[in-house]
Formats: sequence, C-alpha cells, structure tokens
Amino acid sequence: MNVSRSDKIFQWINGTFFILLCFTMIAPIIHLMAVSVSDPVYANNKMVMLWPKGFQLDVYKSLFAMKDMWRSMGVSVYITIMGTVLCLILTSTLAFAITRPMMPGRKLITKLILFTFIFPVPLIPSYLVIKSLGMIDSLWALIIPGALGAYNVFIMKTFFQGIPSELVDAMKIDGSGEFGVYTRLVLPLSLPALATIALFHSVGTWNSYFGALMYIRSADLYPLQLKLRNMVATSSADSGIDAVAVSSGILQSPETIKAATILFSTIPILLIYPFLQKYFVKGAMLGSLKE
Amino acid sequence: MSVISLLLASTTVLTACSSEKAGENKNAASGEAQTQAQAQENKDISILLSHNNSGFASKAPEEKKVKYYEELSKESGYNVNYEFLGAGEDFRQQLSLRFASGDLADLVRTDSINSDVHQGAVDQGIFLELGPLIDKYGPNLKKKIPEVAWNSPKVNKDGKIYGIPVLSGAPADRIMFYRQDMLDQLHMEVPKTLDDFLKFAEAVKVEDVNGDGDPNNEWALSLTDAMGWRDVFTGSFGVRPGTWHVHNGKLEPDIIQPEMKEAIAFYKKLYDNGYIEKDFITKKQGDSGTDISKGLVASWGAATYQFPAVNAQEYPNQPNAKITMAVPPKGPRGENYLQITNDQIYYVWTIPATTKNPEEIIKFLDWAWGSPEADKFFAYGIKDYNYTENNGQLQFDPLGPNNSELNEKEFFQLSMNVRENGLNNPLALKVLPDSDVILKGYEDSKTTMLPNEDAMYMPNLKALDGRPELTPGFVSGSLFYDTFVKLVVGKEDLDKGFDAFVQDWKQRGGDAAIQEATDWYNSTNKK
Amino acid sequence: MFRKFKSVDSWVLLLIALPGLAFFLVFKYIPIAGNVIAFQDYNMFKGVLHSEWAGFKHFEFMFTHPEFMIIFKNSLKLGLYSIIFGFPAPLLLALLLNEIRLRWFMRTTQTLLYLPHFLSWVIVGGIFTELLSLNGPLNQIITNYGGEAVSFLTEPKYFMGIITSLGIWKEVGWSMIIYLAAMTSINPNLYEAAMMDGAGRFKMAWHITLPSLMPTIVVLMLLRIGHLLDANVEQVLFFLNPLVREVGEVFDTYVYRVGLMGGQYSYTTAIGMFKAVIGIILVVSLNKISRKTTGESIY
Repeated sequence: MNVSRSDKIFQWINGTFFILLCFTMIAPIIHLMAVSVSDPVYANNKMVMLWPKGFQLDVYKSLFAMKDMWRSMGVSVYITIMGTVLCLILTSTLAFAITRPMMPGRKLITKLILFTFIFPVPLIPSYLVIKSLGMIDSLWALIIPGALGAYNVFIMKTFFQGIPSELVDAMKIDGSGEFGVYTRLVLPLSLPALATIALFHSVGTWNSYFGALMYIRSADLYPLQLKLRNMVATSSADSGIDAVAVSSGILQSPETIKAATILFSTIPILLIYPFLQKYFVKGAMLGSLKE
Repeated sequence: MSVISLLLASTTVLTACSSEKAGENKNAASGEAQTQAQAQENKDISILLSHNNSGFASKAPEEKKVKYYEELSKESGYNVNYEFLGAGEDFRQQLSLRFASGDLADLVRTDSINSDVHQGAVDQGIFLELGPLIDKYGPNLKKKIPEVAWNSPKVNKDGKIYGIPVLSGAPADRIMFYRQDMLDQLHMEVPKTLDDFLKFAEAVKVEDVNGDGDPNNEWALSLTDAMGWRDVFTGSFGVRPGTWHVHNGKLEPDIIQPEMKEAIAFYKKLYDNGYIEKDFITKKQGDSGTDISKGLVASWGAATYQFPAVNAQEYPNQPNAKITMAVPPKGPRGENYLQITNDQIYYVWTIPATTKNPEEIIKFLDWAWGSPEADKFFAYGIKDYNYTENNGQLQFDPLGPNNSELNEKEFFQLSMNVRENGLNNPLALKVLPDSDVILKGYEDSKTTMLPNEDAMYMPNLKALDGRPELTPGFVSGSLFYDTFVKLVVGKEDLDKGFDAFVQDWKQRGGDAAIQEATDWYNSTNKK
Repeated sequence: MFRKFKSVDSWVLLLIALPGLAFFLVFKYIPIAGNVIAFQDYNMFKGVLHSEWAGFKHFEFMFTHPEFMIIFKNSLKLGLYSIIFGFPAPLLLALLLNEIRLRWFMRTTQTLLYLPHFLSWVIVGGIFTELLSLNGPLNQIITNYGGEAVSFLTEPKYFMGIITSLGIWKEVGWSMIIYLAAMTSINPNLYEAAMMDGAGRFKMAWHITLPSLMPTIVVLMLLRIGHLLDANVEQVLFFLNPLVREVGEVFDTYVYRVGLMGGQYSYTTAIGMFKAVIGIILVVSLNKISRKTTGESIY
C-alpha cells in the first residue's frame, strides 16, 4: 500500500515536471507562430508574445507563392533522403565490419576512425578534394561528403555489440557467412539504432547550410537552410562595420517574414519524428529475442 | 567610338540569336563565324561579388534578377553574369576558397589587393597589372575615379595598379538622427554642443517623450554592440578609433591619446546619469531598430542614405514621429568628427591574371563610368518597370512596389553597380522624397570629416598580424573595446584603467606597431 | 592479423567495410593531412606542398600569447561544466521519461522535448537575452519582490552558468533520443524478474536500466571528452561581450576572431591541432581507465 502511494506521488511529480519542461520547450515555437501571423508593426516592435496581435496571414500567402522556396524545399528533401540512405549504408557496413572479430586490422581501423572524430578537417583541403571529384555546384557535394561520420559509426558499433553473441554464433553454425549475418541478423535487430542514426543524419543534413554556402553556386540548388539564412540575416557587429549591411539590417526583414520562414523550413523535418518514434518505443526487440 | 560600340552591340544580338545553331555546327563553321563566336565569347563577363545582405540581392529569387542582368547586357553590349556570394564572414570564407582553388571570375570583388583573404596574391602574380590597360582602354576610369582612390594601397602597389576602385559614392555619409517630435515636445533645438546634449538628455530622461505613459523608458542616445557604428561622440574630442595621427614625430593610434580618455569620460557621464541604457552592450545592432521604432531612444548615429526609410517607417502610437538629421554636437575644442577622411574606396575590383579578355573587361567598366545609359541604369533601373518617362520627364518612385519591396532599387543602385555605392549617387538621391533634406545631410556630413592625411594610406602593420586584441578600433575582442566598455560602466577606475590599457597595449605589441607605422610614415614622406 | 586473410569471412568483411574505408580516406584523411600547415607559413597560392616550413613558430606564438592561460582555463572550465552538468542531463531525463506510464503522454512529451534543437542560437539567444535583460520579465519578477535587478548578461559570475544551462535546455531532448533507443534493447524479462523480487522503480533503474545503458554511456562520454576544449562558437559568441570576456573567451571564439583578420591559416590550424592533441590524450587515457574499471571501451 505504502509503495503504491509513494509511487503515485512520484508519478504526479514526474508528470508535472515534464509538463513544465515541455512548456518551456514549445514556447519559442508558439512565439514564432504567433509572430508570423501578427501585424508586422507589432511583431517588429516585440509586442507579440504567445498570442498573435493584429491577425494576418499575408506572410504565409506570399511565402507559399514563392516558387523558389518550394524548389529549395525540394532540394532539401532530396539531399536529406539521399544523404540518409547513403549514411545508413556506409555507417552500418563499416560499423558492422569493425565489430566482427574476423575483420583484419579491426583495432587499428577503429582507432583511425576515432582519430578523424577528434582531429579537425580543414576547409581548404576539403574543398579541393570535393572540387577534384567534380562535385562543386552539384547536390552530390551536399550528399556524399557528409554521409559518414565517426560519431555515427561509434554509436552504431555500440548497438551492434549489444546483440547477443549467441545469436550470431547460432547463425554461423548454420553455415551463414558474414554478409548473411549482417543482412539477416544484425540489420533487422538494429532498427532502433538505424532509426536513431537516420534521425541524426537527416536532421543534421536538413539543418545545415554551410556545405551549400561553400559548394553550391546556382541559386536553383540552394537548400532551404541557405534561403533561411539569407532571410533572417541581420548585420553582424562582429564582421566589421559595413555601412550598407547596417542600413539593411534596420528595416528589411520584418519579424513576421523571419518567423514564417523559420517555421516553413523547420516543420517538414519535424514531421519525420513521429514516423521514427515507434522504433524508440520499448520492447521492439521482445519478439525477436524470444524466438 | 559610339558607332563601333553600336555595331558591336548589334553583332552581339545577332550572334546571341544564332548561338545555338553556331554551337551545333561548330566544326563546320566558317572562319568568319568562328571569329564571330570568339568575339561573342569576349563579350562574356563574369562577376564575383557579395550580396552584402542587401535585401533584393540576398533574398529575391534568380528569376526576378534576370531582367536586370538582361537590361545591363543590352545596354552595355556585354553579357554580364553576376555571382553573388554571401556577406561578411561568409563572403570572406567563400572568397578564400575561390582563391585557393582558382575558381575565380573576370571581375572579383575584394576589400583590397592586399586583403588577408588572399594573402600574397599580388606577389604570386594572381592579379593582372592593370595600369597599361587602363591607360589604353579606360579613359573614363582615369577621369572619373579620383586620384585619392588610385593612390590607395588597396589598388596600388609600388606605383603599379592591380585593382580598380569601386567608390563609396560620397566622401562622407555619416550623420546623427534625432527624433524631431521629441525635440519639439521639449521645446529644444538640435544640440549644438555637448553641454546642450547633456541638457537634452536630461530632459529626455525626465519627460515621457514617447508618450507611452512611462517616463522612465526613454534614453537620449542609442548604443549597441556595434559601437564602431553607433559611436558619435569620440569625434567631438578630436579623435576616432581606427585612426592614426602623428604626435611628436611618431605615428600613433588615436585610441591611446589623452583625448580618447576625455571621450570615454563623456560616455561615462551619459551612462552614470542614465542617458543611455544600462545594458547597452548586450543590445544587438540587428535588434536596435526596435528601440528606435518604439521611441525608446531620441538620437543615434546613422547614415544619410537611411533617412528616407527611417523617416517613413511606422512608429507605433507615436503619430508625430519625425526624424531630423544633424551633425554631432561640438566638443570642448569645437570639434565634431563623425568619420575619417578616407580614400573613398567602397571595395576593389581585381582581374585575375587568367582572364582571357582583360581589355574587354576594362572597356566594360569604362562604359559603366562613361555612358549616360549606365548612369541611368545604375540610378533608376529599367524603363517602364522601375521608372517611366513622359515627354522626356523621368518619373521614379522609390517607394513604388517595384522599387521598394525587398528594397529592389538597391539591386541596381548598389548590388549590381560596378562603379560605386549608388545609393549615394546624386541621380539616385534627387528623386527621393525630401531629397533637398538628404542632399543637405550629405553636405553637413562632409563637415564632420576627421583629417587623416598622416595614415590614410598606411598598409596593414605586420606587428598587428594575428593579434585581434591589439586592433586599434571598436573591434570586439580588442583591448580597446573591452577597456572602453569597462570604463564607461565604471567597472574600472577611469584614470587608472585608461593608463593601464595604454601601457598594456604598447607593451603587448603596440610599441612595435607604432615603430613600424612611424618608419613607414618617414619613408613615404621622404620621397 | 595476417592469418585472418586466409579466411573467407575476413575478405567478405573487408569488402563490406570497403566503401566506408574509402570514404574516410578520401573525405577525412586527405584533408586532415592539410593540418601540416600548422608547421608552415601557409600561402594558399603555393599550396601545402610548396609553402615554407616554419617549425613550431605558430605554436610558440600561441603559447606566448598573454591570454593563453586565461583562454585555456575558460575553455577547460566550459568543457568540464558542460560535461559534468550537460552529460548526465539527457540520461536522467531519459530515465525519468521512461517512468511515465501513459503511453500517449510519453510520446507527446518526447516529441516536444526535442523542439529547441531545431532553433538556431540566434533565435534562442535572442529570446533569452530578452528574458534575462535588465528590463526583462525575470528582473521584473525580482524587482516586484523587492529585489534589485540583476544584470545577468554582463556579470562574469553568471556567464558559465547561462551558457551551460541554455546549452542543456536546447539539446537535452535531442541527446536523450539515443538513450531511449538504447533502452529498447533491454530485455523486458529482466524487469519482470526484478519486479517479482519486489524491486522498486529506483532499484530497477539503478540495477537494470543503467547497467544496460553502460556501453552507450561510455562511448558517448569518451566521444564527448575528445572534444573537451571545443565550444559552440555560435552560442558563446552570441553571449560574449566586453564585460564578460575575461571568463567567456574560449579557443573557438579566439580562433574566430583571428580568422576574421584573415590569412592566419597556419596559426588557427596550430590552435586546432593543440586542442585535438589534448583531446586524443584524454580519450586514450580515459579509454584505458574505463576498460579497467567498467570493462567498456571505445576500441
């Protein structure tokens, strides 16, 4: 009786804690939503908090009418999907290989991969590599160079190592080769890991503008984040005072447009989470283990 | 001359029409067609520059920009091809990659031929020496670009020209904005002296000048983290951060002079009396527009070309809001400098040595400087789109939708403009509402130029290489900027703090910088 | 090692790893070799191969910088803060979230918690600058209760706290996901058995969940430590101002400033290299310690 009572109290406290926490985390988004549909004068003067003032939808009307924004969204969707597929293939194969005892030079390779995680990869040589591969001003420059990272390899490796070795041994005894172990055992059992990496990589690709800034020249190929960056750019005090940049900062980007553009470029990627979420729900492996 | 260019232009159009076919039959083409194709190729000019966060250049889609490219191509007879890189730090990074990999254009924008972005470029022969070409093909360049710009080390190395100045368009454009309605309410005139300003500031502090019912949310002066832009008072003491002057035979930066301490003391007074916001240093320049439109500040450092927009913008619940431009109040010695006399260079064009048709590029720039069509395009844009003409009477509405949305007019006046910051061009200014006020603003602005003959052409000092903390200006992370703010807010004692700063700056490399600067000064003035 | 090549499995594994290995070679190792410019006076037009060698000049320049120790201390402090407070936060949150019984509530919460990750520091920083400013809501509450307004953003003593806690706030929901994913592979039978033994939820979390997450925790920890001296430049720069510089300037912001001057490729590379060497030393030694104490290691 006592236990369940304290348990109930804990549940209440815990629930309340999460409700409060969630509120602080969703407030900025609600704020942006409110700003985006408010009268620009109120918005520009920071008079809008969590509820719109002087309701309007003009910003969205003009935003949705911008063909280049939709094109950029298409670019972002494309590089995100392609990049994520490539990332999953490269990461899982490499991570699998370095978890297997029969892999030649396993420890050395693992160390070498770790090395790339810590050591900086300078920009100019990277650019020259990408250029020599003919990827400048092509979307491949946004898909391939970022597809594999040491961080993801180590996460994936850790998950793979968590697979009970009895399962692998049993499969090997049944005469399966390493490739069979990879495709028929490790991959199906690692859906949560694959979903995690997919989430990390797709969000990372979606949110990054830097590659596009450096490697993409045609405006047709700009991903959404680069558009967004141009939209919300304000003059920076740090980059030296440029009279013209400062003059532009004063009036050009009404807060309403900024907020709407941020939401426009964020919401699509937010939508993938519910699809991946089912893999994080407890007990996904239950069935397979009992077999 | 004009007959030839007309002929050239017409052949361009012709070849452009048949260019697809010409491409198909390349092998079979006759010699004549080949030379024609070559001539056509010579007319292609690629331009690599920065959109500099200007509204239209950075935000408008490519399809909206094409008409301007086409118009300029039509008028000039050259196929212009603009590539806008990012602004500020983005631009520097992008440009450095372009230089490192050699992916340049025919015309490349840079701050200076000695810019650190492409350190060593001149010595490595990356840039074409332009002197002979300009002599031959650029009479208008020589005529219209002033001597003061050609002599600058930004384009000139040891008497050889490696860059073409893009002019700032006006020798001076910095000015102060006051809220006229607030002055009226206080029955005051624009402050003429610093003492006047203090009286004005006190009145702003006491009265509810923005009429929102709260007398405690008004400040006389807007300051932000962009002090280099917002600082209006150091010049009233005869000094400006970033400038060097000769003192007792030594070329020294203004930041270590006793006058600078006086200026800091004045700011400190403003701060202590509550005339500027207590947490001004956490205000981002990008957000400062809000303080302005809300009526929280009564004056601020600005530029004349901002006047039309700032005057016309909406000030919520302040129906009488109005802006007056004025020079800063005069200091104890009658000085009120708001800007440094400079070489009038906004940025610099360079032509890479690999460019195939440099003489055509020079001719194109010469056209931009010399032809009335160019004057018109860079001021008013496209006929019947940006402006109309009735009976020879030109009508240009800067606030019309085709000119004002995303600040579209800035695109041809500033972003595409290969000769100058055209926002300052008299042709562009005279069609603005209140143009007489603005033109007077420019005239007033000229009276606030701090003489700079000692160090105007001083090259980058080796002693300051890789030492951002020693930069003698309002650069964040510099000893000067840190000290300035600490002294203003009273975190350190004014006298002790300033003296300690001067000593520290000198000791850490400033002395060497002064020595280097003095040596340079002596060597150039001997010649 | 060479004996392995006799086995078909080894060849298959090599083949499987080949695309990834080739990737690392081309996109990581070749550019990383460019770090040698730390020992050169790099001239971009001469390239890495023809620039002049400068020995340890740039390292000397760094070590003799009068503020080197301050910057080093700040970087270390910020790194340690963000590890000590920032590292356990998502783990703790994941454990707490795991205790929630209502499925829909758990799912919704999980989705909402990771929202701030999607906002840039310019947006988040702007919001918190408002909240923490002298006239902001937080100070209004303080003054309403008779307190004196606090200048949170210009007082050095608050700087690290603000940076660390905002960093946690923004990323905690996001970092938690990896633990949630790891939790899915815990065998539920373990919990059932423990429950029959009468174990409470705290005991189960301590004796079952946490140990099962150990490999993930160790790997994440070691990876984090490899970047001990790295900071989120965008965030720190946003909150840095002359009044807090003495506590807030870290290597990354300093490099940013030097970079703004341009042309200092060799010097900034040398600083990056210094940080990386520290990172490698830490990872290697902590990996050893971890292998001995927890049995888990990264390689």
